[in-house]
Amino acid sequence: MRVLMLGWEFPPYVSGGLGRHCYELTRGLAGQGTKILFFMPKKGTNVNVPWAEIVGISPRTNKKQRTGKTDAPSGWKEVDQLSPYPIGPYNEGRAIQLNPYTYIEPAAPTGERPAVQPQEFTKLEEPNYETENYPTNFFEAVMTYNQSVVQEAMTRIDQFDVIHAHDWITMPAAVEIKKRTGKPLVVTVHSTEKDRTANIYPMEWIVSIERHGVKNADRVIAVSKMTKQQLIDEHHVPADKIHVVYNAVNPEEYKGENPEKQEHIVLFAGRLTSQKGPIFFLKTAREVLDHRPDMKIKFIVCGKGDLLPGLIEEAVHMGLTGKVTFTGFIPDDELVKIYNSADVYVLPSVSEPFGITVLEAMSARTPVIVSKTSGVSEVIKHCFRVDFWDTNEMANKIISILSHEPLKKCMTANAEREADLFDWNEVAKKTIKVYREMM
Amino acid sequence: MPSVCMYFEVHQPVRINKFTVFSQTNKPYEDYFDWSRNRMYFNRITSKCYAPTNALMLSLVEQHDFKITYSLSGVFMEQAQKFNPDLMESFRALADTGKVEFLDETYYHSLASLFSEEEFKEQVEKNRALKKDLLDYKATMFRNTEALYSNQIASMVEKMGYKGMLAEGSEKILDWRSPNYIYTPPNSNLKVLLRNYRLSDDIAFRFSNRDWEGYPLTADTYTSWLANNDGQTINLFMDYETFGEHQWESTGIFNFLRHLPQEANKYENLSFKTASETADYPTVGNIDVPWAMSWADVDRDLSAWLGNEMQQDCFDRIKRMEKMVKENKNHENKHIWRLLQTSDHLYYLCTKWWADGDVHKYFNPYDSPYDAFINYANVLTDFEKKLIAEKNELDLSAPREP
Repeated sequence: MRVLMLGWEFPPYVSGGLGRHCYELTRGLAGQGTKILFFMPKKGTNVNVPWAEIVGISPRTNKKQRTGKTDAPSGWKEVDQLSPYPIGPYNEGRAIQLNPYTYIEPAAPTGERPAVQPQEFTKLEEPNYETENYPTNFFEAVMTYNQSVVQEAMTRIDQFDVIHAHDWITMPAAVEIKKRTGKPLVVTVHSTEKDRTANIYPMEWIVSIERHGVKNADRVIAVSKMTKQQLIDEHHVPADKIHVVYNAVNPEEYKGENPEKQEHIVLFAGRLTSQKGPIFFLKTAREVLDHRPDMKIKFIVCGKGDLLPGLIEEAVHMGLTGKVTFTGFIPDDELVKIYNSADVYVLPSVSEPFGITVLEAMSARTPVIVSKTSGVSEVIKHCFRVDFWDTNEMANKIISILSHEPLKKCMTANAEREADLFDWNEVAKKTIKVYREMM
Repeated sequence: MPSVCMYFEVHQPVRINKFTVFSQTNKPYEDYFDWSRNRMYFNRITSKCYAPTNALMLSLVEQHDFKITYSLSGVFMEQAQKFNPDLMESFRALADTGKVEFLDETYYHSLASLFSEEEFKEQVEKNRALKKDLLDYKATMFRNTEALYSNQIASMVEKMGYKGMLAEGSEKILDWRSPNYIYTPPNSNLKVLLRNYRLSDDIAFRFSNRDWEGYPLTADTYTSWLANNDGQTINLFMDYETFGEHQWESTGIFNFLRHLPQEANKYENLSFKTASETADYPTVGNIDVPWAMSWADVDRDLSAWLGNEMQQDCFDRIKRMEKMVKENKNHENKHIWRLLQTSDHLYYLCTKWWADGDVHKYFNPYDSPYDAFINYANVLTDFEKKLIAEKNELDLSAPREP
């Protein structure tokens, strides 16, 4: 079996779960005899793995060429261009407009967005670059990438049997390649536009690309039952076309020493967007501290995103100065240390298709509190499940975990064992089953 | 051919209210326990199980050569009085037939036998008193919470004057021997009736299992299995809620029960005996149980209630309160402390999902054992604080030495 996988990011260029997912998935697939041809928007010299052929596609623009990184970075880095994740103002002036996750003010010049229907996307041979409107640049960059992907794929038509795309951003190309080659297409939905925006002004043109993609795919892989249901409800995808394949974790990467410390640590880690519910974390912190001023507790917010300045301001207003620490972006090795020093990990997401960080925290033997509107809460038992808005209940649970060592011991021992069950080889095995079904 | 001893455990816990770290109360008895939910559960189970099963049992003992044995926990009887007094009347009608026996047990369905002989005796006495009151019945046989049994427990029970008690017929104590005989503990005359778990669980657990080779089980097939047994007695012990609650009416469980006595009566020697009649058989040997065992799960030990750190922590806290509660002299406090001892509260904290998951999930009103722990621990913390506050008040008001 030979797979053409259309990706967006790949280690060391990662900004979120998608890059990591592709890395682990391709490794698992290759280990089970699948040949992988992987396309991504650009390729540094250090994007190389022995199990896949990785092809960097340069997005063509007729404006001044964006320079990629010239010096090869060491360690995993963030994608600085075309990132599907938010790039906030704390990101040293990087291109905000190339970020599909950026919150768009409703006052954006919607009238001037190109009235292009999804099926027309791949027909745009030479987009009109005159338009300077805010979402347009990004739209164009995406479309240019998609076109380049199609062109590259057509030169390698005899090198793959199956097309596999991840999320909306490569779906136009995937559908076009399918149309031109007649080869079967599977798309994995890691998150929907509605998830990413917490349903606050989802961008209609992205939603329509997403709908077009899942409708034209032969099979859809959803990362949870919750996402599957959403695709059925929102996009009317037939249920029997969608397979649920949960994410996994490499537990060993998250094991570490539990350091001696003077205070309890309660942790939030994720992009600072409405989707992830960081504001509920701050409100919970306030309730915990109000009830137990005698306890020494530090609340840590890891990650960045366009809500960061607002959250800092909010924390000051709430009198949380000195109680909450915003770390900004955290490299992986640092995150492992923080997981291991934390006493509670909270995921208050409004809408979380899966929630892989929960498995990571469980592997690091940290008790987890997970919102009920998360895919991971469907499948794990050794956790607390709460409503994301129920800050009082989250506070109840945090104080209880911090007060009762037996609870923590019991929960973490079981959770660590449970996280081990989520194996990337299983993900690959289930994915291959989906490929076979289409052949 | 052996006789058959059918015994049913009748119990409903008084479930704990939602209690967070923020909760406060001046009315602990009202607020620690979720009375509206307890009423709802009780009434639901009464209409699904207790009321129809009692009516059926009454007609069966009246029409056939059929005898049965029950034990009713005090917390069950207390809730029946509160929520459904007619139900106690139907047990009274069963008692009045003379063919139905009632055993003694701890009023609070607790693990008191594991930590305090004094507390254990008081709880048994309290159950006995209420049973005398409501059923006009005096028991001669005993069964401990969840069939908890050990040499030490047996010795306490014998000292209290009982003729015999019930226990689990586990290979752990029997080895190659059959549970279908009467045994005694070492150096004792107490008659121990051991549960035949295979034949009991055919009804209690496997009856509606479509993957089971015995499915669907009919009364004539089942009685033929009974008739194939050797020994003195076949002890069929199970939760009363098997009928209509664990096995829904739609599984055919009531029809099975309805035909059981007449099918059994077709075999000349397959008679029914109560627990005390069964205990009249002579002893065939000894069972030596230095550690406590039970009828729960595949492990048949204490791990369903005391298997993890959370359970041990809560149990330790309950034990540590005994002195303070008894010095406190407040009857309501004592009752609360004892209601908190009901083994179900600990059972909800069980995390042995890897082996017995399904059964535990079925009986658990909480989202997870961790939620159950938080709730239970918060009530214990609040109650401890209250006891300490009252103790300090008492100490202050006590006359001081000059």
